[in-house]
Amino acid sequence: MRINTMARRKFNRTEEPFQMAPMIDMVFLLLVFFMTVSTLAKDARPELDLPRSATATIPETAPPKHIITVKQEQGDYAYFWSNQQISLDELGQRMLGIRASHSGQIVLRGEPAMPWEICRGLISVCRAAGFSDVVFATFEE
Amino acid sequence: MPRSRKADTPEMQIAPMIDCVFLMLIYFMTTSSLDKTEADLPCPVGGVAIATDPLPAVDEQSLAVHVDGAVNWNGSVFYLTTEEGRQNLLSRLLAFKETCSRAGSEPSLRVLPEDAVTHQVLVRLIDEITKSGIAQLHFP
Repeated sequence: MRINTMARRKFNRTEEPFQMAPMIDMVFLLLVFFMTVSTLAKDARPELDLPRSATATIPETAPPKHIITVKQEQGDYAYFWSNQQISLDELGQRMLGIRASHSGQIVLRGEPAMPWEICRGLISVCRAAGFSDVVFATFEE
Repeated sequence: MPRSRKADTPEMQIAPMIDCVFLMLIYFMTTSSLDKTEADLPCPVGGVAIATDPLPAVDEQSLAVHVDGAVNWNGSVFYLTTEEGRQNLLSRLLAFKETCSRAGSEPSLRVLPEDAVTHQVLVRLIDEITKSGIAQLHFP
């Protein structure tokens, strides 16, 4: 019995200790990554599927943007100014308001299935407010 | 028996910290979602025209766009839903641009979509026009 205990002790002493430091390093790196990404992803616009484009580009220096989103909700189309849902009339008034203070680019975000009828209405509002720098938001193909 | 100095020194407990870090890691991993980058495609809404002297000659053509993705241009039909249709349209656009260049005029296109034409079809049409290098594009 005594011999066996002695042998076990000897075996335990030669075992490699578990290295905690590299694991903690990795966990911290992952934590910092996810914390950073989740902060960046917090965007002032509703989530939406966008049409695919072969020629659209990601601008290197983005001008001040006003984001308008059109989303189909329960069979009807809802308009969003950044993240706030508003009517088409309110949208026009708001655009006239910002036009008086400063200009900027208008980004129109619509689903691939959005009909031209809706898009035309938005373009008319942009024209009426005097905005000429309008872009469609797309995903790169 | 006096206690040794080593036994009196408090040690930093890292186990609760690791627990906490793991909890935060799991929280951020489950709640965060990667955002796809959006690209900008210029939309021709029309703006203020600046008159130049002499005014350049403009050759304007109309493209009627139908719900099924067909583009009718002076009797020729091109389907934006097929690769072949898009290639044919691009060839025609390049030929139009070349003709205008030889005539010393500026090519211009007026796009007339039906009400139900989808946004994706219009984006495909703008893509082909952009590829051809024709800069003047108008919507009604």
